[in-house]
Amino acid sequence: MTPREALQDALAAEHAALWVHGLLGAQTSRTTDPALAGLLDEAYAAHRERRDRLTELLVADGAEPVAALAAYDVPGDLGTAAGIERAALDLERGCAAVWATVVESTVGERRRLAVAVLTETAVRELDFRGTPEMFPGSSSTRTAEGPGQEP
Amino acid sequence: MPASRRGLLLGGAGLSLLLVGCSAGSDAPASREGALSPATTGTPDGAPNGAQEPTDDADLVGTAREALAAAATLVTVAQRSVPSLRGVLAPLLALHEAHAEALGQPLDLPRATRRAAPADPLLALVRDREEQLRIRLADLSVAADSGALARLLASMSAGLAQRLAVLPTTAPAAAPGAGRRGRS
Repeated sequence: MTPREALQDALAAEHAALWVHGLLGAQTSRTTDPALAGLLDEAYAAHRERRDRLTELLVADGAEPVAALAAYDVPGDLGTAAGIERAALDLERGCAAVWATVVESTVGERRRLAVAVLTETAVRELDFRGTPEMFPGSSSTRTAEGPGQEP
Repeated sequence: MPASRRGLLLGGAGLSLLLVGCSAGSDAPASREGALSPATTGTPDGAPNGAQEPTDDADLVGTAREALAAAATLVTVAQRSVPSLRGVLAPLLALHEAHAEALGQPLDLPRATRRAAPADPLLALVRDREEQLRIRLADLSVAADSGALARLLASMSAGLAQRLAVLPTTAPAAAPGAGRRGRS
């Protein structure tokens, strides 16, 4: 994968993350679950910042940044806080894998950015009931507690 | 709180000396010329010292292994010194073992010496060294020629960040009588 392709994939993932996090935030009551609402707000802001940064990088390269889709697949079971957390966790894990590919495909300051985002995303997984993994962003699902990541 | 902060720093200094003593006779990979260790390579904030950077991926992997071994050695010292830290630090040691295996060489740690040590400063020292290791792995990822190696090191750094995020900042209270057996 070329560096540009990796950045475009990351941008596509961030577009999707923004859309889905917006949906998750809208499904979360700020009255009854302010903590989760706050975490979703933080995640939304982080993904928006990454989308903007990726767009800047691609424009600087003379590339046309991939556009957001009109809509994305909606995760199921958004009627409970647990379902929303699960959807947010899946989203962050997906983003971690995409950014790990950016690490692999880039060099220099762009790789440094990707390493930082991978780390930030991995830690954010914990906000949504994720458990520490041995190798975040990899295809491996081992955790310190044993195989798999299922709660 | 200057008093407690000072106490922590003094405790950390003493514990650092303890770790040096434990590491001296370890079976950890021998230091190679030009290779780095967390204690000698970075600036205080963890930034690498460019003059001593590994020159190729083989050196870089050696550097990462040494850094992992040093951190894991401190973890084992802490576990043996403070029984209440054993369980708290067990996932961290498992993480280091998994990472060392991913780098192609299982950890071969010395049998740590048990010493009387204050739990909270020791835990703080572990946390500090682990944070240095996390930064070091990230820097090594950026420096790697191989994209696959860069991805592995970045993933290791991220995994360590996760583990640090859930690591308690204070040691759990010791059970009555815990830690007496075998101490002299």
